[in-house]
Amino acid sequence: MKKITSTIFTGLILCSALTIQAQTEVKKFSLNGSARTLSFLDNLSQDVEVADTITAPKSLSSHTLVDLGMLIRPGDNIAIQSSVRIRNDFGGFWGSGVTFDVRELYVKGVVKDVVRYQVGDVHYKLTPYTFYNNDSELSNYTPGAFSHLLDQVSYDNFYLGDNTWRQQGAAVDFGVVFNKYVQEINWNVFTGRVAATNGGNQPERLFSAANMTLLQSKYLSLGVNYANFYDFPGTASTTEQYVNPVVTGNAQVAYTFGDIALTANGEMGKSHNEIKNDSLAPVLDGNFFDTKIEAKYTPWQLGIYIGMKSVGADFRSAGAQTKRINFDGTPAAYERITNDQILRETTMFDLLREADLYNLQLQNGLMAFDARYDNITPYGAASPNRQGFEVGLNWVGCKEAVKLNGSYLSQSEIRGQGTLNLRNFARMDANATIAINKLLKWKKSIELTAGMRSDNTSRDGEAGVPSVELQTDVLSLGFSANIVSDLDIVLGLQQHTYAGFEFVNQTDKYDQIINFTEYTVDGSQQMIGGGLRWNFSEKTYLMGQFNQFSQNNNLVDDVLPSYTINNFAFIYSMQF
Amino acid sequence: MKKIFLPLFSAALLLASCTKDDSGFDGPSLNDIYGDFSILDSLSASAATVDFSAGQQLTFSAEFSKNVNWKIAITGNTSGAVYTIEGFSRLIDATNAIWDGSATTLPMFRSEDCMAQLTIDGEDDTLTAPISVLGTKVITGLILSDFEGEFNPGWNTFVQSGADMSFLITDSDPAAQGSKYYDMGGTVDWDWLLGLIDIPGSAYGATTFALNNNPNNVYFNVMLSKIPGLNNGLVLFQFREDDNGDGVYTDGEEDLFSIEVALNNEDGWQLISSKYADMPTLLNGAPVDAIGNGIYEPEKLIQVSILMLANPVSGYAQAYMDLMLFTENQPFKP
Repeated sequence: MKKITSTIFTGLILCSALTIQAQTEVKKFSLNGSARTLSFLDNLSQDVEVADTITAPKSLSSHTLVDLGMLIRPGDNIAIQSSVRIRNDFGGFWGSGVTFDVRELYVKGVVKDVVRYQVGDVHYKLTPYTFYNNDSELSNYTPGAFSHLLDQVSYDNFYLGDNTWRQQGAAVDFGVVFNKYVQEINWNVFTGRVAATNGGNQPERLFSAANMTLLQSKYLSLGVNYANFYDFPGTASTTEQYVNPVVTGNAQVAYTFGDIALTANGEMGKSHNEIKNDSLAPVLDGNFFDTKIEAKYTPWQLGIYIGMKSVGADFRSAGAQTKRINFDGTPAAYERITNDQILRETTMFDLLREADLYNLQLQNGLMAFDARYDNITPYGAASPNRQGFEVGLNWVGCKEAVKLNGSYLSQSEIRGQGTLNLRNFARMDANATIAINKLLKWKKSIELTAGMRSDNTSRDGEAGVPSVELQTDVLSLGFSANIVSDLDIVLGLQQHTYAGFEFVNQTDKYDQIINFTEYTVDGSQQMIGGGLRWNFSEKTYLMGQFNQFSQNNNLVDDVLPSYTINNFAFIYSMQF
Repeated sequence: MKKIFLPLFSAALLLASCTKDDSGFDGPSLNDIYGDFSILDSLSASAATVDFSAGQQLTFSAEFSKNVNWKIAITGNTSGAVYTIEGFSRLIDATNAIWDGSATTLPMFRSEDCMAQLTIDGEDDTLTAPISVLGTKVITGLILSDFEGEFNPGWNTFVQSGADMSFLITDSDPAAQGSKYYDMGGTVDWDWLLGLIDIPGSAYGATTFALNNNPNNVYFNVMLSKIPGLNNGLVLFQFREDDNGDGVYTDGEEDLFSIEVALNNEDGWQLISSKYADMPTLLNGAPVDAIGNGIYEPEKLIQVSILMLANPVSGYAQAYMDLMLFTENQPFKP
C-alpha cells in the first residue's frame, strides 16, 4: 500500500476515443449521429357484435428524423459532443410538422491523465440494487423481426444496451494502481439533477452515486456503493425533504480448478426512505442480499449456477427500482375503440413502437406495473418483498452454432399483503439460438431463435378470501436468413398468454397499500410477422415488414373486445 | 480459495432460509373484505351493576371473526338516555369500549336499569347486555341549579300577569337530568317578556360567582327543551359584570353579555354551551359594542338573568329548562 507506483485512468464513458487520441491523429471536428424513416400503416378489426362506426379502422403515420451530432475536440484531453434532432412528421404543412430538439450535450475530458470527468448528459449505472436501468417487460423475448421496432423506441428513450440511465449532471472517475497486495482501486462519483424546483412544494431533486471498487487480484474484487435520491433542502419553501439513500457492498471471487471455473459474487446492503418533516410519511428501512455461485466446465462450455437472494419488503432504491414502462400511460394508436370508445390497454404491440409509453427519469416510490407482463420481478433484481433461489445452466456447443440457456426461479414474499399468507412465485425460462448455417456448413446466415418464459404466482386463500393463481406464459420464435447478396428474410412470432386471479395494490402518495383491486385476466396477445431487410452496411438497413397483432379476451364480462391490428412497417435506419 | 466458496454459499443459504417478516402484513386485511363474519365471543359488560357516582366505569367486550364496523347503544329504561360507542375492529375491549356514565345526547342517565345493544354493519345480529346503574356520574362545575330541589331562595323572579302562566319546578314531562326541570310558559300579548329569573352571586355565598378569571376557560351550560308545536320561544341569558368592583351592577356603565336561544329547531332537550369569552353584547338580539370596559371578567360576574321571551302576537310560548352550570376548560358533557 505504501508504494503507489503510478496512477492510471480507467474509463467508463467514452474513454476509447480519448485513448485512441493519444495514439493516432484525431480530427478536431467530426460529425456523427443517426437517421431514420419510419412509416406505419395499421388496420384495426374488432370482434364486436355491433360494428364500430366511431373509430377509424385505418391509420397511417410516418416520420423522418435526423440526429445530427458534432464532436469537437478543442484540446488533447477535452471533447464536446452535441446532437440536434430534426424530426419531420409526414403531412406537415410548410414545416409545421417539423420539430427541433437538443438531444445530447456534454463535455468530457481528462485532468492530468488521472481524473476523467463528464459534464452534461451522462449515461451511468452502478449495481442492480443501487442504480440500474432494468430491461422492460418482455423485451428479452422479442424476436429479431420485431426488435427493429423496439430498437427505435430504446434509442429515442436513451436506453442503451448496458442498462445505464441517461442523466444530466457530472461524473468523475479515477483510480490508483498498487504493486503489492492490491492491484488497483477505482472510484466513480456522479451527481445528476432529476427535477427542478418549483419554488413551492418541490425542492430541487438530485440523484448522487458513488462507488469504490478494489481489485485485489484476479481472484477477488470488492466494492462499496452508495446512491441517494434526495431533495436539496432550502431550494423551495417547503420544509419537507425526500431522501432515499442506499448503501451496498459487493464482492466477487473467482477460481479455477482444472477445467472448472468457479465464480461467486454477491451484494448486500440497506436502504432508508423518508420524507423529512412530514409526520404522515412512513419511514422505511430495508435491506437485501443477493449471492450467486457459478461453475463452468470449460471444455464443454457448460455453465451452471445457483443463486440465493432476499430483498426486504421495505427496501427502496429509486435508482434501481424505477421502471422503464409507464403503465399509467395509454397508447396513442387507437387510444379508444368500440362505439363506447373504451380506453385501449397498453399491449406488447404498443410497447414495440410507442416511445411515449416509456419513462425517461428516475421516480420515487414504486411505479405501477401490469401483473400480466411481470408479476415476479417488476422492479428488476431489486424488486422488494422477494426471497428465494434461482438455478440455471447455459451451454454453447456445436462449434458455437448452438447456444442454450435455461433457468428456474422460486421465490416467495417476505411480508404478506392483506394477509399473513405469502405469495409464491415460480419462473421457468429458456432460450436458444441456433445458427443453422453453421450446423449445415453453409455460408449464408440462417439463424433460428426461440425463447419461453412461464411465470406462476400463487397464494393460498382463507375463509372467504379468494386464492391467488396467476399464470403467464411468453413464447418467442425468430428466424432470419440471408437470401441473396445483402437481402435477408426475417420472421417472428411472439405470444403472450395470461389467465388467473390476482390482487392489485392501491397505494397512497406515500406508497402505502390502502386497498386491493381484484384483477382477473384470461386472454392472450400474439404478434406474428415477417419482412425483408436490405443491409447497406452493419449500421444501415432498409426494411419492410408485415405484422399481425391480435389480442384475445376470453372474459365474457370484460368491456374490451378482442381485436386485431394488421400493420405494415417501413423502416430505414442509419447510423454514422 | 477453495475454502471461500462453501462458507459463502452456506451463509447465503442460511440467510435466505431464515428471513421472515413477522410484522404482520401490508395494507388492509383481506379477511375484513372477504372473510365470513361470525361472532366468536358475545357481548358482555364488565359488571352487571355500576355506580358511576363512585367513579366506577363499565367496559364491554366481544370478539368477531374479522374487523367490522360495530356500534354499542346503551339505553336507559326509564330516562330514555342513550350513550353510543362506535368502532372498527375485530375485538371490543377496554381499549375501545368504556362507559363512564355519560350520555351521547340528552337526557342524561338516571339511577336505572339499562340495556346495551351491539349492532354490526351489514349483519342482522343484535347482541344485548343488561346493566343496572346504581349511581349517576358526578357533575363537576359551579351548578346554579338542577331543579331537583326547592327553588333557590336567593333567586328573584318576575312573571307577567298573562294567561296560562307557568313558571315553576315540575316533573310532568321527562327531565334532561334527574326527574325535575323548570317550566317557563304563558301568553303575554302586550310585551315580549313572559317572565324572568335573576340569579345574583349572593345566592351562592358571595357578591360575585366563584369563577376562573380566564374567560377562555369558563363555559356556561344549560339544558333547554323546545316544546312540540311551539316555535316562538326565546330564552335570553344575561351576564352582568361588576366592572368597577363596587358590589352592584350599574346599568349603561358596566358589561352585560348575553346568549339568546331561539327555540325553533328540533323538539326536545338540547344542551346549550357557550364559552364565556364568546358571549356577545346584544341589543334587541343584535350584537353591539360592549357597554362597560369590554373585558370578559368571569370573576366579576355579579348576576345571571334568564328571560323567557316571545313575540306578543305569536300566542302561547313555553320552554323547559334543566341543569344550569358553569364548567371549566370544556363544555359540559352530559
